[in-house]
Amino acid sequence: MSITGLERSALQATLPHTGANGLSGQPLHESYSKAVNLANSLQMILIVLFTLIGAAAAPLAFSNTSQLNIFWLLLILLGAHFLSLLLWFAGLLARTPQVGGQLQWFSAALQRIGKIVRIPAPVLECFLQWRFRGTVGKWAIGRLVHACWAGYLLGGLCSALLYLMTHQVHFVWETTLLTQQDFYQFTQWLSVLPSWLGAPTPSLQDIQMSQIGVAVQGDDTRKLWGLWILACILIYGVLLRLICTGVSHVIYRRQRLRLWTSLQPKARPRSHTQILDADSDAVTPTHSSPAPDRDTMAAPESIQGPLDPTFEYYLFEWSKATPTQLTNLPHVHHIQTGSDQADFLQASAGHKILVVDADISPDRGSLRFISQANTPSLRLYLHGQTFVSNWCEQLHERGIAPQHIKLLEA
Amino acid sequence: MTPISLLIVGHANTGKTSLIRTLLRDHDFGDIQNRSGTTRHVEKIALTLNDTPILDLIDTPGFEDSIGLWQTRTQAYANARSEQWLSDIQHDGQYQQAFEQEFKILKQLSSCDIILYVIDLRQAPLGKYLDELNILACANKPIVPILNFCNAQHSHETQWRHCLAERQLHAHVRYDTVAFFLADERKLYQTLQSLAPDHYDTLQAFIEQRERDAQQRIDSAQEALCKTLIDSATTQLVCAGSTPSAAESKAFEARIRQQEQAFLNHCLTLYDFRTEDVALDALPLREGQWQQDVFDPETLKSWGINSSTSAVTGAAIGAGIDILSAGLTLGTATTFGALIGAGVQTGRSFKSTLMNKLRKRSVLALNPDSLIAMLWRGTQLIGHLHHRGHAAQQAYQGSAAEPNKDMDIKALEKLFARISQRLEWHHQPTLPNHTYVDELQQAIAKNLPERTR
Repeated sequence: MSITGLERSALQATLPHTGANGLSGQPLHESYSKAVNLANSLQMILIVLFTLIGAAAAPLAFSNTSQLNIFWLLLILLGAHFLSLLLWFAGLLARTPQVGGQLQWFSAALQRIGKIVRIPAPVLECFLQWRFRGTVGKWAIGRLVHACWAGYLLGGLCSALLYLMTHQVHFVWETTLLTQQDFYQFTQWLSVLPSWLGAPTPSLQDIQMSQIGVAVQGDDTRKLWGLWILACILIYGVLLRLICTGVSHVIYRRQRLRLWTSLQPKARPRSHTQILDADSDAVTPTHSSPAPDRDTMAAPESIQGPLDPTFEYYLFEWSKATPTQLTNLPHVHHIQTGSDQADFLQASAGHKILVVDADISPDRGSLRFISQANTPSLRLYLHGQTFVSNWCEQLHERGIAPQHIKLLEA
Repeated sequence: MTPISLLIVGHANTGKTSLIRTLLRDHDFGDIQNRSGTTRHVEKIALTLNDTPILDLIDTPGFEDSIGLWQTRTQAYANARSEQWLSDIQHDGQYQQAFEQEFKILKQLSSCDIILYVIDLRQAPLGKYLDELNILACANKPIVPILNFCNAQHSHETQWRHCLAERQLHAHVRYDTVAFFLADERKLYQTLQSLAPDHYDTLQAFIEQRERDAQQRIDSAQEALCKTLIDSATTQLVCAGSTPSAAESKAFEARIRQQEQAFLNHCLTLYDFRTEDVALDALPLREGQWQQDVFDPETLKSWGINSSTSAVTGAAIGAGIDILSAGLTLGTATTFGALIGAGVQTGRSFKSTLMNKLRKRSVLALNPDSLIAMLWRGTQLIGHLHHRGHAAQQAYQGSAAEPNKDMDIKALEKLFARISQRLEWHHQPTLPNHTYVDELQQAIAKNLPERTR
């Protein structure tokens, strides 16, 4: 049996952080599938075993004597089953921390066989933890226990049917404290469900005829008691356990799904991508233009000493604080907008110095403006460090002489 | 219903691709560099909810020369209507080469529903940015400014707010692609809800899904930390002699570090980050000799609990034997089963201790103070990853914050000492159902950074 995608991704998400080792030989999901198959086979073997035991045990209850106490027989066949069902139900209501612990021997058996068939221990432990412990385990074990009981009772029912078909049994009842009326009431009460399926209901006369000490018991009465007992085993035993198995199975599947869902890593929302307008190589990216003299390009010189106060300084697209070297100078301007650029271009050429923020990557717009503004008298000061080489490269490409570019220490 | 088409635009290098990365929580989406013109194509990302596309995010190349482009509008196309200019300029041969990247954006303007304009708040509202807004306004589509890097040290937020208000753009969203907060993302989707009321319910469901996912991530990370601490507390190394050798101590430390690394890897997978996003220093570990404190009433009490559980187990096996003999030996088998069950469990607890004592071998285990340190840095890591944007480029190197003053060290020491006795919890794939584990989970939740809780 293969494992579901949900369980597989839960497995991938869970096992890496357990620090598991010994997983290198086999793919994770393969080892896990092996554990699933092993557990399923073990469960099937158990159910078959219990069916055989039931088939062997039931005739023993009939074979003591030719006279069989009807109600004692019912107690032997169904008493343990009801007691176990009651214990299971009580366990279900009680909030016990290790409900799955009641089948530790099953886990132990799985672990031992798992080692033999070389299922890595962390995978096996993970499997047991998910399927046989906690809330999921409670219902998984419930399903197994009910299925085993259903098998046991079905085996018993079949062998009892075979026994009664081939043996003549004298059904009796006896009492010291109770009355015929009590037995009649009890029988009527037990017959409610079997009568819905068409099973015969013993009358008061049948009860009277079957009390111990009454010598004569007709074939019809014997047949009636036989069918009545078989119907009781079928309904109160087999069917009840099959219903419990079914309910446990449904809840187990739901809880298992909830557990796996909770183990899914959900970092990112689901999405898919599509290129709408691919990059054509017509325009070379601003930053990746190969500079012909890149290797030989020298870093710009740093400005030594105070700045000349007679020059006009233009801070180009400036977001930072004004550099300290410029704070006390009389001719400091900003070029922040398109109209500032136009004004700069229209102003007469003089001793103009453009101060560029070299912490910002050069873009086409800035470079276009600098190209337009380029005159022999234009000087560029780079302030900042991050993109100095990138700026130098781009400015050289646009014909700015290297000696016109200086570094203004930040 | 057709998904809402969101055109993500902005100047080059303002964080458009980063925004998408953070929204997708996908480190692999697009290419991010600290330079202009990294994205050179238009890419659509369809976000789905229950396999139904609800949002189309369209990533675009950045504007690089908006001043030049806007000049064409005010000069060569001064008499054209806005829509006419948008349409005609794209086919004007003389501008094809100069504005190829910008035209890719203009092409998408007509088909999108809402424009998300990404602003780098570290930059002042320069003319080139305002011209970009002028260009976008020509499309007559709702514009939502995204104020990126809102947690930056030097921000021009006030100036930007003023400029946006002048353009009637009051519904902006603060967002930081480096430091991610779910509340910011919620605000973004809520803004979209107000701009696209037809999609209100779908977006609401999406917001709720995102919140559930975030909760699930933090729950899973906390659970992983809890498991790691339990595994580390119950890790033991049996030494060859009564005094541990250096090699044994080293091997033990390596085992603990491996467990912490496994937790780290789990968190990175959970939050979809890469290994290089976190660079933690090795935690100094102190291992001591482990002793099973047979006189500790809590330990004895826990064994008592184990014994009673085993007694129930034994009784259940006994009931199983009774089935085989049709209920004839019920009482005897149950009693024997209970006795055997209790004996086996108690024997298991003592066995390894007794054997090691007899063989004069010491056992290495982690001291509670190291475990407390692991708890502290684990919670800080979770807090960081929970708020780390997928566009963050700097590796996390551990928190400089001091442990909480209200961290109850004594109680934690006691708790870890008790947990270290529960060797059966070692490497359990799911957390054991026990009050100690509940206490540890509470301690983890309490020590998460305040903004994460």
